[in-house]
Amino acid sequence: MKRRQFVRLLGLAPGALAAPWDAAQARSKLLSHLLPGDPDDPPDGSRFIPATCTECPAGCGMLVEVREGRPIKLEGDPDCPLGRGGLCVRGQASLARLYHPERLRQPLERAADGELRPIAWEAALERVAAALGSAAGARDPGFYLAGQTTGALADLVDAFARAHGLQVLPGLELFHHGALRRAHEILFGRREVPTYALGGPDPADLLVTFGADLFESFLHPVRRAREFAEARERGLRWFHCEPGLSMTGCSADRRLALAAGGEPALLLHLLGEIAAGDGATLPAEVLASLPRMPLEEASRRTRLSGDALRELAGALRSARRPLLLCGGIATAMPGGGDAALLAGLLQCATGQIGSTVDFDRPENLDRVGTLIEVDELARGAPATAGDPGLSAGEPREPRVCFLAGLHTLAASPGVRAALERARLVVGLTDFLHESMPPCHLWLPISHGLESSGDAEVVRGRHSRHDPVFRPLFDTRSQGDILLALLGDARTFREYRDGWWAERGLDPRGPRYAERPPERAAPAPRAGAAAPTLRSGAAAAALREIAARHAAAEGAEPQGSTLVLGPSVRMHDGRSRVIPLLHEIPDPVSTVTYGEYAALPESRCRARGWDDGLVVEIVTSAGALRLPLRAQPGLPDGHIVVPIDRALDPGSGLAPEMDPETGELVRVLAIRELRATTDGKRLPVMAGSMEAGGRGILPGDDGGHGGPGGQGGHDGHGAPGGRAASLYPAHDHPLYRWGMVVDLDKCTGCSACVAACYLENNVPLSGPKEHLRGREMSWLRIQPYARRGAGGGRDGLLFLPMMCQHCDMAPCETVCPVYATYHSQEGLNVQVYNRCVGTRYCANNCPYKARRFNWFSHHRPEPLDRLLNPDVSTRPKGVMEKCTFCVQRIRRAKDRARDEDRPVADGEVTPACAQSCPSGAIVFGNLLDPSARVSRLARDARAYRVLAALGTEPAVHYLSRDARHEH
Amino acid sequence: MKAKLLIGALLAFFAFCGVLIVLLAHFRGAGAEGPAQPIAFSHPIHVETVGLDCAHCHATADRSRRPGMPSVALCMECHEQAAADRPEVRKLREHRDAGRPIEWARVYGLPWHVGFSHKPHIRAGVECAACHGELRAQPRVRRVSSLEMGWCVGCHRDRTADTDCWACHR
Repeated sequence: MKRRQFVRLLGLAPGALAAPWDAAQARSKLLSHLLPGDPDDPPDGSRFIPATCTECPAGCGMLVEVREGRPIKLEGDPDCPLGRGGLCVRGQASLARLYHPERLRQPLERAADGELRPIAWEAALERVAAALGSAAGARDPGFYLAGQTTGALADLVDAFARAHGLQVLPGLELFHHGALRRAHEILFGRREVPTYALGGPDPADLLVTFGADLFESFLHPVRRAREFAEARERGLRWFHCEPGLSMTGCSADRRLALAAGGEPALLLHLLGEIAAGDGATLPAEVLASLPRMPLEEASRRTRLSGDALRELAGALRSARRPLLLCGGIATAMPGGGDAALLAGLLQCATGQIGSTVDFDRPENLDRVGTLIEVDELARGAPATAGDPGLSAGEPREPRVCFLAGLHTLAASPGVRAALERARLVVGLTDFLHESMPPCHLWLPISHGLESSGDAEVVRGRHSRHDPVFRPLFDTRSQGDILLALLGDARTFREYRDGWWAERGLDPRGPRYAERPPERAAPAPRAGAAAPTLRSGAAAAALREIAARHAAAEGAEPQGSTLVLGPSVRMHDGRSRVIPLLHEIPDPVSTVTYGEYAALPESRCRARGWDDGLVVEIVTSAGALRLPLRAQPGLPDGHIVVPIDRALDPGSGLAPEMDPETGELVRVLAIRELRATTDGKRLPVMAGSMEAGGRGILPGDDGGHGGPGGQGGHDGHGAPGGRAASLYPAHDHPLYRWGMVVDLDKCTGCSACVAACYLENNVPLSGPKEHLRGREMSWLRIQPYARRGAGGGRDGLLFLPMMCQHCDMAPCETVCPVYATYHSQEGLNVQVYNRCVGTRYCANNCPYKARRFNWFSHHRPEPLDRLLNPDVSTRPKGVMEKCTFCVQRIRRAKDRARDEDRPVADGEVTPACAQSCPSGAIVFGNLLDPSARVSRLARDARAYRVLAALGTEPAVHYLSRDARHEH
Repeated sequence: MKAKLLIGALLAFFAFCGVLIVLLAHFRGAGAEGPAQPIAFSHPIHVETVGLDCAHCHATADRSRRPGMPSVALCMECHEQAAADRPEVRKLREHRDAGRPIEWARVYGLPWHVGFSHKPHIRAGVECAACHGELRAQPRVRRVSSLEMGWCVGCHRDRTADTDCWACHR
């Protein structure tokens, strides 16, 4: 017998066995339910139920895709006035919080031995009620501390506290914008953060930002990204001034990496320049007290070139509708209060108040305190008129304390001290966060999708949401717990509806409602109610600043600084419990799991330091020991550590507050930096951030002779434009699906990545596999280093990379079993059950878009309920990759077939494009010349990655507009 | 000698596989009869004698991936009176009274990588019997088609339906 015959025969028998096995696997039960289902809601139909995202205080509206009673995907709500269809990476991932296996599932009580034991809700509430009863009439009955709370819940908290004599502490938020609110109080008598109008029908033409991390965590990242895209389409110019390197900074046209602490000097200089011009609108009294900040001095203090400063001042002078925004890191350092003040004055001087800076609709931060306020009140330091029971300086001895929805008290030592003396500490939480102090009672609260609620994130703009499904576990909403403790028989939903009705809002009407702005007198025309500058106070503040600057005359700017940078994945650390957010790389460093400090690449190279080497960073506020990441694009003299890690207990860093503004100091002077002998392997997902002249970026085709070039077009679509090939061209009779990604609009925010994970049941492979380069993401944000103005490298360009669905796909020709092939609709198909796992295709893919299942991935209960039933879960040994969300294409085609018509343009939106806050991803049929995707693919900025290889990708990129390049 | 040994080993292997197949078929009850059901529901009575249409009970076949199994409440609409004293109908009533859904044994099952949907098949005018056979002649429902890919593709080719892998595979 020949060997081949033998193998063939051998294959037959197990094959025969395998067929019935497969069928047996599929064999399950079919249920006849007791009651008929809704005839309009077929069992595999999706319903989209509106909800409000509760992952951060921005409160974006979203639509929850519900299938057979359970939420399986979140999408941005196009009707939401804030997000308008986009959702950020954290919002997408918040669904994984709902199904998190480690969620608190029942009330827990701390026994005498310190163990946590389950306790029934009734018993737990009785215990709280008893403690509240005995606390009544005590000198200090206790306090209630939560994060930012708005809407009906805020009122309910007040009512609850009044009933039991509790003090409601101001909301505890790390990003409380205390410096901005203080500045606006001094300048305008309004302790508020206004709405910044970047987009809209008349978008800003110039954006100047100081430190504000618009796309990470500053106020409304999703809204800002959308407005940014709108404004950029209309020719926005953007200068971003920041120490270190942030994701937001990478999107700016000009990123001015200044020496930390130089912001007030730069703002003073700009004020002087504007005041010297004719357009200035500052009162004489203010102008008289304006200290002089000549160009040389400003340049010295910021370490920015005189040319850069001149360019910035010139742009500000000539802008028609400028928007200056100071916040985030620029206001979170000593001198941050000055920066906020000067920024406010500059807004006045350039006529922004009432136009791009709108105090009619301020952010609703009324109940949020600064870190210092909260801490001092909890500590019992300053006695206020409202609390006669408390005397100054005496430590509080609260009876009952409530901590609601908080994830850490690391920056609040005063609160921690007060809790230690409390008789009963009740924690309302969804997780037992490691960094929370021990509570006597833990009450599990429901996820936002499981409870009713409302929000008023911007004053006068209300939104309302109701449960999408029943709580998974034995949890209750914060509102329901408080109502139960108040002895109120209503549900929180009823309470909220009543609250809405009282305010003239219709609780049965649209879920986004608006109340007219509160003004002393009705304004005759728009903008008339814009606050006026209080020149006396402004002049006094300027004189103080002048004195400070005179004292610092001649002082050198700080040497190296440690910057506690923003984190798009973790916000202030609250999202760290979500494993998906650890799996997705930070877009700037591309590190996934674990903590790290980003050091300038040039410096690391000079010293021979590699990724993962543990360095000791000694700062004024303590020493950190962290593995380093050699970060391309990070200017010298800066080390960046994501803020969510920096405050971990045991990090070695003692949080420091700026006494003037109450903000956490996020810029620390480095006293010493030394390498240790330790090393840690760091999961860095980007192989290299060098585009390397390979044709990845436009004008970077490595001399392959492709048309490429800056703003050039690679000739796609032209007859005969295809490179010579041995293979025949493909026939696409009806559809040729394609995608356009606008790099001018992509901010690197990674919302698309999270959306892809959830839509396509992409498994999480974990830190160990990441170290072996075995991540599973179908879509990744690939950062590339960009050249700075001085020829040095500065900043990054983000390139979303997924399967390019090539016409001449290199993966298809090497598959020995035809598991991957080109479909008639232009899709590069992967047939999972046919794949035998040779991995030839992945090796032959120049885009590195294919992922191999080294294991069958296990999803711990109840995460298994998060699966999209339209997409299979791939077993081990199988290759997978982006499918252009073929399940969505199928759904659209099915709908079109029902109506006997072809699929319309815009009818198919892959998950990535749906989530993109800036609308950078467009999908459609390339055969339809009028489709948006075809029009964009013909744009002068269109190019294709590695076009010289002749792979003919279906994904087109729009290069960054030449105007937006340094 | 060596070749004989090899053939012997091969034969033993086949015999082993054969026994396994027979055993499997036996334990899964996939014989000519089809699997046993918790209630001996008879399609012939309902289709032939009563004259019910398929869609009367399997109501979502024309707009969903799944045909939909009738709810207990729907069964009881008739069986409150009709044949209420029969032992099988009593079982049905017990389910209703106990608030317990009926767990039918699946007869037609597909593996994980196939995304079959009833809707496009009904839309294309494929008769139920084309795949499920004449149910009026099946007192106990049994699988009458192989559900193998060749069987699916054969029909798709005959009707010039989509034969792209991703039309069915997921």
